[in-house]
Amino acid sequence: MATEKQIAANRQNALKSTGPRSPAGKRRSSHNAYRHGLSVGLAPAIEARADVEALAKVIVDDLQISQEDASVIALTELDLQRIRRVKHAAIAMADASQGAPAPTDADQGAVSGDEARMARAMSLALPELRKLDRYERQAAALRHRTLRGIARDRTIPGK
Amino acid sequence: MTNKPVSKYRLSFKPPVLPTESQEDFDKLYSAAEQLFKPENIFDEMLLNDFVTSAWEQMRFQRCKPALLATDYWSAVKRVFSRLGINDSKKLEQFADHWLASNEGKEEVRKALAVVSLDETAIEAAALTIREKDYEIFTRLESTSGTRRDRSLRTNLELRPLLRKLKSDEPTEPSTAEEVPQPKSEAA
Repeated sequence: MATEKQIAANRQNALKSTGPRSPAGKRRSSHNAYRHGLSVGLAPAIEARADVEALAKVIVDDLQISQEDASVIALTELDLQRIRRVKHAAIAMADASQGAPAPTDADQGAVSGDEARMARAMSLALPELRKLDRYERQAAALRHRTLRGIARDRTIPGK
Repeated sequence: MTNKPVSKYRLSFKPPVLPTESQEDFDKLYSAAEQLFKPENIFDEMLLNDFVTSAWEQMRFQRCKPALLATDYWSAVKRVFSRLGINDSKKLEQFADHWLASNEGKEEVRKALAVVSLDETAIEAAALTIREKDYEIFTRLESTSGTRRDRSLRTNLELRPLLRKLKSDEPTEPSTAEEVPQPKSEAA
């Protein structure tokens, strides 16, 4: 355990720190809190921006809505697609990681072997599926709110 | 595997079919939902994809729930007979092995249960106790998939007349939720 003197020295030294100075250091520290990125819906990575813009353009052309609304819908739509792909991958990975199947009722025809295998895989992937379900709900709710807002605007004269 | 549904509106869509699931069944569901939604623009297609994905996931959970319990029947058989006062571990394993080995073995276990006025529901109940937490999460996720499925259909029916209408048009009254039919059970 640190002594009073050490604690005081640490505090003094900490005051001298001004955080990262170089651009590379700042970039690195900007990702300090990064975990998996799935809950960060509205900040697309640079490589995803082109997809968002392309989809937003289709939405503007198709629905005759503002670029701003179209961008939100495009972002949330692409988020939903990403979350669903990850969900699929989580189950597939859990399935691939399964060892030899334990004795089940599957052989007796109560459930099929494929169903038993899938149930085991889903059971293994449950922690991820729960989190992903929450992100999916959030993304779907945001898209839903935006669509409702657009529809509401169209019912108001002069909008 | 057949080809995945082709987007008419440049919306990428990856069918959520796992290796243990039937692509043919998924394609049938997609076609049925397409008949229901009759997509005319990207908005319709987004909600069609939501509907199909949620409905498929809900069905997956429905299929998995009995299978999840079945994976624990061996332990469940042991637990039932242990509760009935059998302490000999070899005897307990014998019952469990017989249950999984053959229909004759199952019949033997059923007879043993019948002596104390029980049937195989007792084994299912024991399996449910063993898998309680997972079963509860499965049920919750099944329910949220069902909610998403219904919502995508309701949203489509409510908003499509409004989103088709251009801004320069006359204002339109939104349809009410009461007018929205519930999704057909065969599509779900």
